[in-house]
Parts: sequence; structure tokens; C-alpha cells
Amino acid sequence: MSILEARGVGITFGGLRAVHDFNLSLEKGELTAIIGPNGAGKTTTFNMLSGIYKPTEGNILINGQSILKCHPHEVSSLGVARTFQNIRLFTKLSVLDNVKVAMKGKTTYGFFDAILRTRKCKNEEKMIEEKSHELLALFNMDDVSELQAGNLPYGEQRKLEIVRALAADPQILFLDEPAAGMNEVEIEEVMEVIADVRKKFDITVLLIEHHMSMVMKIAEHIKVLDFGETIAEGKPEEIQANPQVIEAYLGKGGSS
Amino acid sequence: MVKAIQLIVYGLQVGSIYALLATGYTLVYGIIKMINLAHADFMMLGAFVSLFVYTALSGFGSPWWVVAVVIVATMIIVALLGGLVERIAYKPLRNRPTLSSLVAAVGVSMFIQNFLRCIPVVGPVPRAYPSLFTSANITIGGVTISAIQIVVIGVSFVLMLAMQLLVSKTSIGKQMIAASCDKDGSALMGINVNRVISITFCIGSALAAICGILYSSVYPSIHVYMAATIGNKAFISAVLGGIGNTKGAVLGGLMLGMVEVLLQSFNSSVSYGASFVIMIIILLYKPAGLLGTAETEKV
Amino acid sequence: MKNMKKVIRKEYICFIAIYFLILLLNSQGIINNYLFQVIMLAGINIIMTLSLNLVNGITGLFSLGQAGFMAIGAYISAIITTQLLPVLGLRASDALSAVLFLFAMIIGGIIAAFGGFLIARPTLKVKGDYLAIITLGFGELIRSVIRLIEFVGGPRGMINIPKLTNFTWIFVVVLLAVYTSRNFITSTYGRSCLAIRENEIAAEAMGTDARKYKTIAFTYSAFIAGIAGALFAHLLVFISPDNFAYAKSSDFLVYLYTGGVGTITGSVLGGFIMTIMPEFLRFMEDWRLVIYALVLLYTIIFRPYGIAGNREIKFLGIKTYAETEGKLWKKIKQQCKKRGEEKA
Repeated sequence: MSILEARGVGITFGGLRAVHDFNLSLEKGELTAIIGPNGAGKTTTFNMLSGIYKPTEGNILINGQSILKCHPHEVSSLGVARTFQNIRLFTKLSVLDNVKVAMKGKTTYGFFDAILRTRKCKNEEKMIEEKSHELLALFNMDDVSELQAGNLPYGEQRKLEIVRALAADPQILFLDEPAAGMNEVEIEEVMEVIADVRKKFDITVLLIEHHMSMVMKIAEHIKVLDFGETIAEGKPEEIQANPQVIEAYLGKGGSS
Repeated sequence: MVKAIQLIVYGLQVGSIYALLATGYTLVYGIIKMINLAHADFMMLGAFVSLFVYTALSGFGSPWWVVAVVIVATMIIVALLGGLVERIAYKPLRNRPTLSSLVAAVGVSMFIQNFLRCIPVVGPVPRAYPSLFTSANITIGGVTISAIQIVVIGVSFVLMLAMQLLVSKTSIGKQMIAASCDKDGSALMGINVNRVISITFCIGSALAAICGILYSSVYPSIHVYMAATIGNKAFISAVLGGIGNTKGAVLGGLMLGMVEVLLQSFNSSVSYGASFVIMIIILLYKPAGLLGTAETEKV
Repeated sequence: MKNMKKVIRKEYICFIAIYFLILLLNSQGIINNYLFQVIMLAGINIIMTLSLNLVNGITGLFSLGQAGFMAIGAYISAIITTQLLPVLGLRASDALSAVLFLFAMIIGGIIAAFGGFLIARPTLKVKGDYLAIITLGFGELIRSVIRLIEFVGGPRGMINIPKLTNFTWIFVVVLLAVYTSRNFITSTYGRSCLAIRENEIAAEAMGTDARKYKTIAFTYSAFIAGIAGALFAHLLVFISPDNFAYAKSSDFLVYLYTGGVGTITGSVLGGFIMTIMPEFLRFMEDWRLVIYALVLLYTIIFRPYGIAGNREIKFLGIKTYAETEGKLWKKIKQQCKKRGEEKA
């Protein structure tokens, strides 16, 4: 059974059909990429898959369970974590706190434990503190754990978003343009981070990206969207040669 | 039957004031995405300023042109005050989260109310408002309508119509709509956004001032805290109709006025709470208001 | 021996010292009874400001109706004590009355919390600005309802409430409020609320149920406000609906923002200073609200973090980044200096 399945998913905003008949079947451990020109509906699809938008057609199943009626935080507890196209860190909180927020799922203490600071609360807080530091250390971010997240350099902020998503212990990681606004060197670093993540965590990745070099190197499957429709899917080599894809990006006569 | 029509006229009168005030709220909210909690206090300012202007001109009696001068002068003065307040208190906060502007609005409202209460010229004691319009009544088929009611409803409708025309037909109106859709984009298109915001504030304040004059003509006792309840109800009207939408403000105001009058004829203490209950229901089931369009946040 | 040392930290000694000092000064007449009452009122205002901080500061909402919850706590607790004290044949000075008072306070708090819960559940998915008006309306609604209830004196107010509040009660409750607020903030509850404040969509994506945490913050804040209301009623001995008008809610707003929104230190400072200060400016009594308004405007425009400046006193154990960053930058500067010297 695939971890995440989308069947005939689509969404219409008023008169605009943003996404139509999107189908996906994610197997455990894979890295799938969704690409397409701007406005193709990629982030909209992500938003549907993570529960922020409700699709107007079709069904989305995570581990066989439909998430159509779920709030985003419920979808998150089913094992989905994501990053955002425009960085959505908790800017005034520290790097460490950003990670700790995502670790909430590991705690079991209740409200009265919290305000009276019972032993249970203290122990679990200690556990979260240690785990957060560990996670940050894995990505060489432990020395900046006390800095305000908003004060980190841009590349580090994007990395922190990924680390934060990992703190939620997800089965599936959605990365929305993790290399946006970066140069070649930084893109290499992001690719290393993603490879690192796949090695250290047994995790399935769904990626939106514009940097073709990166996508072609790390993706195992690729889906191409244009105007909300899936115009091609397959392995990187197939996609690169696909004339429809080239036309979508470069226009007619682009393949010549 | 007679009673019904009487109630409807009363409802229209109450509602038109809400509608006019709501239009001011909505214009300002549309453009800077902030509820100006102090808006109603400009209505109170309008009442007092018109009182002073009228007193200053008292040597001339009450012919129609004195009334016109009072109205126009009040509108100008309060408009300028509105622009001033915007410059001092709201402009510095434009790039901050809207919660800061809300706090500033609370502060402005607090200042205006209490400053006026403290200065001897105004003071905490309610003042009598002169009758600017005739106190004649018209009776049609058993229904008594006072001239003041006609003036209130008439003036309000004229102004609301003027606002519609302003927003849809004039250049400045279109600039206001543009700025409310996208401030940065408008600036890049050559619109002086600062100027547009200031003008919007001035217009809003002027509308509030006229509301003050009209309201005080109906209930001729004015004091510094008079605006609070009306302000809240006008705001609820704006929300009911769809905040940011001037037609919605009119619709919401009239509806709220009607509902309030009807409830009051049953039980007066219920009607005050009713407006808040209405707002909660609207926000729960149709948060964009009756005529509003839901804003989706880009994720 | 080490454990003993940990418990008897110098701050605890400080608190006990302040407590006895104030009592002493009062008994010696240096702090006269009037000023003593002002100090107690300041304590109540601190508790209210702390409750507002939970909602406005930590969760990033905007409540203009704290006075409503205060009213609920005040009236409910007053009803309980005025009805039960004579039934149990107690007078205000009896020891058992204190127990009854505690009971009345807690019930008042619970009912206020229930009110908070009722308001919160349906309205919290509404945008911040609208919540302000709804909470304002709620506060006014409570006031209107109280005015209608003849049993509690209606618009004339309730008299002959036993004077059960004393400095000890207020001191202890302030400390408890600070303690529980701090624990809340440093727990997952507080962090979730902070995350919601910073970026609600991201918080939801990370598994935080925004509605649940906003409701919790709102309800708990209402509880604290209810307790403060109970203390208030039994200090002033007479309460009326006009004590809890919008003007009171906006007062707390002034205390919170001038003190420093988002921090416990700010709430305490704001509540204390802005209550005590008018006493020393007696001659400007009439202008109190004008000054409050100007202070609020000045603060929000020029010093948005208020007096506390987004710092918490070390004792609370809350790290705010204004401090830790200062230290980190100092370290980095030192390292750069060292490296510069090595190169040279």
C-alpha cells in the first residue's frame, strides 16, 4: 500500500480550475518531484495534500485513510510535515523553540501538569530539549540554537524549516521550493541536506522545485504540471526528452 | 399598519446613521486593513465642532445658509483633524502588524474622549444641541414623520450615493480601490499611496462628522462619551454587509437599524445585545459579510 | 545541603522580605491605609494584566473584554460569600471565612473561565480585529446583563460584601499568577501559543491545533481575571456594573502595553507602575486618562516593547532573545577581535 495516494484530485477557486485530475501514488522511501512553470498549481496541490485547502474533487489517502475532512494539524499528526514556498518560520522565537514546537507530538503532559510544573512535565521538557539539540546538531545548527530564527541568513532559514519539519517525526516530507533564491553553491548544500535526510531518516520526500539541475539529479519520479493538468510523468531522462514538457517551459519551437 | 410604517421610518432613520458611519469604517478598513476604533469619536467631534461653529455664528439666527455653513465648516475641520490623527498616530504603524494599529486606535479614542472631557470648553457635562433643522412634522395617512427624520434619511442617502459615485467614477476613487487591493502595486503604478490614505481618512472623518450633526439633531444632548455604542453598532453594520464594501456598509447599516427598532418595540434591553449576537452569527457562518468576498490567504 | 541551597534562593528571600516590609511599614503608619489599599489594587491590576498578557501577548490575539471576566468573578464570589457567611454564622475575621473566601474565589474563577470558553470556541477562527470588537461586546453584554439582575443590586451595585481580601491574599495570588504564567509560557502550551502568534499556518502545519490552544489561553486568562475580580470585590466591599465597563478593559490594555506586551516582567511593571503613578500625580487626577492615552500612543509608536523591552528578569527562567542575542553578539565580536589580533 502506498503511503500517500491522490486520486483524481482537483480544486476550483470560483471560476478558476486551479488543479484538475491530479493522481499520485507515493511509495515509502521514494523522492518524487513535481515541476512545472509558475502558476501550474504545484503549491496548490501541496496545500491540498497537507490539508490546508479542501479539494473540490477527488480523494487523498494517507496510509489508506482519507484526509478530506481533516484540519492541517490533523494531517500533520498522520505523518506529514512540510516546508513553505515563502519561509514560514516563527521569526521571533529562537531556533531551538522553532524545533521544539514541532516536537509537541512527543509530549503527553496535560494543562495542569504544565502550569504546576510537575515532575512529568519537567522530565518531558528535558527530553524535548535534548532531542531538539540532537536534531539541530545533526545539521550543524546547534551553535545557533539561541538565535532568533528571523536573524539567520537566508540559506540557514531554509535549512531550519527542513529541520523543523523533521522534528515532527514525519513519514512524508513535503519540500516546497527548498532551493528558491539560491546560487549553485547553496543548491549543492541543499541537495546534500536532502540526501542526508534520506539517509538518516527513513522518509518519503515530495518535492517542488524550479532548479532543473537539482531535480534531475535527485528525483526518482517526476510529475509535470501545467495549468493544473498533469502533462507528463516518469523518470528524469524521460521527462527531459518529453516535447510537451519542453513546450510548457520554453514555448513552441523551444525544442528546436 | 400605521405602526408598521412608523417603525419602518424610524428604522430607516436609525439605520441611515449606522450606514453612513459604517461607510466611513469600511472605506478606511478597505485601504489600510485596520479597524479605526476611534472613528466614532470623530462623530462626537462633529457634534461638538458644529455646536461651536453654530454658536460662533449665533448672531445670524438660523436661516438655511447658516446651517449650510455650519455643516460645511464642520466637515472641513473634522476632515482635517482626521488627517492629522492619521499622520501622527497611524502612519508610523503602517508597516507593523495590524494589532499595533488597533492599540493605537484605542489610544486615540481614549485621548479624544478624555481630552475633550478635561478642557473647560467642552467638559464632562452633556450639552444641548441647537435645532438646526425645523422641528415640523408631516402627517401622511396617520403616519407622523418628523422633518428631522426626513433630513437624516435624505442627507444620508445623498451622501451614500455620492460615495458610490466617488468610488466608482472619479479618479481618486479608483485610486482608493487600487490602493486597497495592493498598496505596493499601486505605488509602482504611480499612485501616491500616502496621499490616497490621508484623503480616505479625511473623507471618512467628514462622513463621521455629518453623522454627528444628524444624530445630534435627532437626540439633542451631546457629551464626550456619546459615540461609543453607536460606533460599535456601525462597525457591526460594516461587518454584516461585508467589510471593505461600501454598498455592503449601507445594506448592513439599514438592516441593523431595522432589526434594532423592531426588537426595541418588543423589549428595549434585548436590542443592545442583539447587535453583537448578529455579528457573531455572521462571523461564524459568512465571515465575509453579506456582500463581501472571502479573502484567501496565500499559503 | 545542595538541595536546600537551591530552594532558598535569594529571590525567594527577597519576596518574603518585601512582604514583611510592606506590612511593617503599614503597621507603623509610614504607608498609610490609603496607600496600602492602592498597593493592593496594584496587585489586582498586576493579576489582570498578566491575564491579558496570556491572550494579547503570548497568543497574539486582541481581547478588549477582560473586565467582563473580572465582573463575573467579582459578582459570583460576592454572591457566595454574602449568602453563605451569615448562614454559617461566620464573621469576616474568622479563620473559616478565609476558607470560604478561597472557595468563592475559585468558583468565581471557574465560572469566568466558562464564560471565556463559551466566547472562545465559536469566535476564535475569526480575524484579530474582529475578535477585539467581539470581546468588547462581550464585556458590555456582561455589564448589561448584570444591570438587569435585581438580586445583585442591578445598576445600583452590590453592597456589604465582606472585606475578606487582605495584603496576604493579594501577595500570594500575584506570586501564583506569575508562577503559573511562567510555567505556561515555558511549556508546550505556551510554545504552541507563541507559534500561533508568530505564524498560525506554519503552527498548524507542525501539528498545533490553533483553535484548541487559543481556547485554552483564553479560558485560562478568563480564570485568572475571575480570581482577580473576586479579590477586587472583597477589597472594595462595594461593586457596581460601572466598575467593569470598557474603560476598565482599556486600562488594562494601557498597563500591558506600556509595561511590555508579551513578557511577565512587563505585565507586572505595567500593572504596578501605572496604578501607583497616578497617586503621586494627584493634582492631575482629571487628566489621568489623557495621560494614559498619550503614554499608550507613545509606547506603541516609539517603544513597542514597552518598559520591559522584551526582556524578562533572570529569575523567571524565560529566555527571551533580546538578551541571549546580546550575549551571543558579544561573544562573536570578541572572537573576531581575537582573530584580528592573531592575524596582525
